[in-house]
Amino acid sequence: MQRRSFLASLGAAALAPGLAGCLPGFTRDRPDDGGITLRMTMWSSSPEHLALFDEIAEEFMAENGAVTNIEFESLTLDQLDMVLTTGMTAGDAPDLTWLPVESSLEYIDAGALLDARPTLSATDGYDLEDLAPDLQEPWRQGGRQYGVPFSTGPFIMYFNRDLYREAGVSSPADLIAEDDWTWESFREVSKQLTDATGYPGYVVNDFDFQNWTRLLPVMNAYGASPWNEDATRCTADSPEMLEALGVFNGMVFEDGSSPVPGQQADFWGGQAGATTAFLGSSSLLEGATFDWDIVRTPSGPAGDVQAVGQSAIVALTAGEHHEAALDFLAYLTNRENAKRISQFFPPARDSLLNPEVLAESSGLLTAEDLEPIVESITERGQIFPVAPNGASVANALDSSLDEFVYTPDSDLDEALPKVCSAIEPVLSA
Amino acid sequence: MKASKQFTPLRRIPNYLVLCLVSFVAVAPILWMISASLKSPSEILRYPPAIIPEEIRWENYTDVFALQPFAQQFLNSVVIMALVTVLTLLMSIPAGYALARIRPIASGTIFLALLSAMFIPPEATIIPLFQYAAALGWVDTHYPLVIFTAALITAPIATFVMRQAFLTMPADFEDAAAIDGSGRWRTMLQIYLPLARPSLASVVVLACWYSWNQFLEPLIYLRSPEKLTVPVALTHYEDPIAGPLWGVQMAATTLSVIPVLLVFFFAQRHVVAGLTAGGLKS
Repeated sequence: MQRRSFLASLGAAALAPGLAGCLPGFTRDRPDDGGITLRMTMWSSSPEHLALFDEIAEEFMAENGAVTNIEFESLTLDQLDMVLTTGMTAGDAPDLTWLPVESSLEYIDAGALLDARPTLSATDGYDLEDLAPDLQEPWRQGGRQYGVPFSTGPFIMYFNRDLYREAGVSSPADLIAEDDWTWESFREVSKQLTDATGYPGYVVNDFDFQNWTRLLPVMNAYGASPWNEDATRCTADSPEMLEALGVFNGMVFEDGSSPVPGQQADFWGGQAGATTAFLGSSSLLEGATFDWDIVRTPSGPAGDVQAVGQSAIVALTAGEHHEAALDFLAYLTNRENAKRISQFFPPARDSLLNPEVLAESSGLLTAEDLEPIVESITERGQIFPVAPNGASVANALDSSLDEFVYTPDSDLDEALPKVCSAIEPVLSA
Repeated sequence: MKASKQFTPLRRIPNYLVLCLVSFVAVAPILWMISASLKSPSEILRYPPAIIPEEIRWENYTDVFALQPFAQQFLNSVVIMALVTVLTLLMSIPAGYALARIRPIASGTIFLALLSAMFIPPEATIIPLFQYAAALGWVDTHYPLVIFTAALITAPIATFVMRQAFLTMPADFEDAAAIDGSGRWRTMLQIYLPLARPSLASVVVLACWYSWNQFLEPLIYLRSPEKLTVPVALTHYEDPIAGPLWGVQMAATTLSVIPVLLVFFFAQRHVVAGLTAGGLKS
């Protein structure tokens, strides 16, 4: 009896909220006014980001009577492909979405993106020329524009000044002052720092030997890329890649100045000399108990080339309202709104690419910190390489690097052709 | 008896040590979660980790509710879980009873079909089910999470469990009840069901566990933040560039685990009794 009454009360307790207040979960709140409802997916749930996009959407709807509702759907970046492809296959795709540059070619080739150029050109005061041409390349094909970048963030190097001081070796800032800021010299000081302090000199942020794009700063400096410019041929076995990965593998397996696979070390907790991470990652340093600084990533034989990640807003062909979606895309990315969005994400408009604007989107960094970095992005920034079948190629590349390259006894002369054998079939598929 | 007398407290020490070690393996991640929920991002990532935070950050807990409607999301999970469990019981008890005791035509085939359904991964059915949900206007509502889950996943498994439970009971009860004038429904509900209590407890635990942990389905069907369930909501505590907000994510996870732990703490006698009752034959 006791058990029965317990189970009954447990059941009643669980069901009561449902009956009392949670039934809204069983209805869909959408205005039934006959107007257009636009849907847009984004990998942010930040109330500030959503409030800004909602505000811009309200203003757009006030100007464009046909659209009466705009819904922003939050998810995470790793959920994006799954949600988009399910929506497209099931005939319920969003009208617009944020899309990372790594996926651009795959979506363009699949005919999944709408050409925004006619709408952008026809929109009064849009100022198409202000979109930095070099930063638009992945989204432009045959005179068409398949998306407008809203976030263009470079990899920069963060370093722990306290650890460099403790080790008594030249810091990245010192090496820049000495005009000796190369991966070779950075490798040298990292080893010295590790020998002196026991901490790794260099940790690749968000890498764990599973995300090849995080090695782009070193690859770019040596002019290396896993594939050629039009992504038709593997170039992971090139002499440039051999040199670039030689430096990285040397730091990991010869010098011991970077963690080996499975070893944990974190720069943000003060346990490493330096890391390469996105500009926006500086928020991870909030509350840091050590003195830190930032510099551009080191140069190499190919010069001072900065790796730049990017995301764009695109309109989907599988969406229901093409014209309204393109109009909203033009409104979201016009100069005035690009400036508002740039308080959170580094912009890709010439007029906004300056230290003051970037400082707003980079958390703890000041315009003064960012001045040399902005100079290197605008003059020597290189967007991530893209390939058709982006996700499959990335998987093949990551797993073959893991199998053949990231091992203590790997001979890169033999390992890199094996990497090419693994990704070539996926590249040409 | 002799052996137990020799089991002095001193001799128990190694046993306790082993037990403490095993408990530590189970408890350490929970302790780390609670500790991380009170730390700054840089302290969370420090190695080796420390259990006591240098500086306690209660803001992580206030951020849980500032960044998302977490209380509503938690309630959503509870309501969906309760409804899935109720629906599962409503479907599986009569179905299991029918398959075990009435055995209609083709009951073997029906049972085989049910068993096969258990082995289809949700990834294989998500697109047609999503299309169906869209046609019914169920996208961004909790209907598919309750009805599809109960009808296609938990009820078939529960039917299997209940069928096996009813099969082990003697048919004499049925005959005796029939002689006393009891109909099918009454026999099922008043004679057989009380005897199947351990299996019922297993079915309740299974349905609750499956519904609470669902991730792919709410990710696909739900869109509004206030309609999300806990597992999906937890992934949303993330900065688009800097990555997961570990402190807030751990605070939200702690908050979502505490009520479940409290319920288990107060109800463990009932749950354990329910699960172990089947171990003894009456």
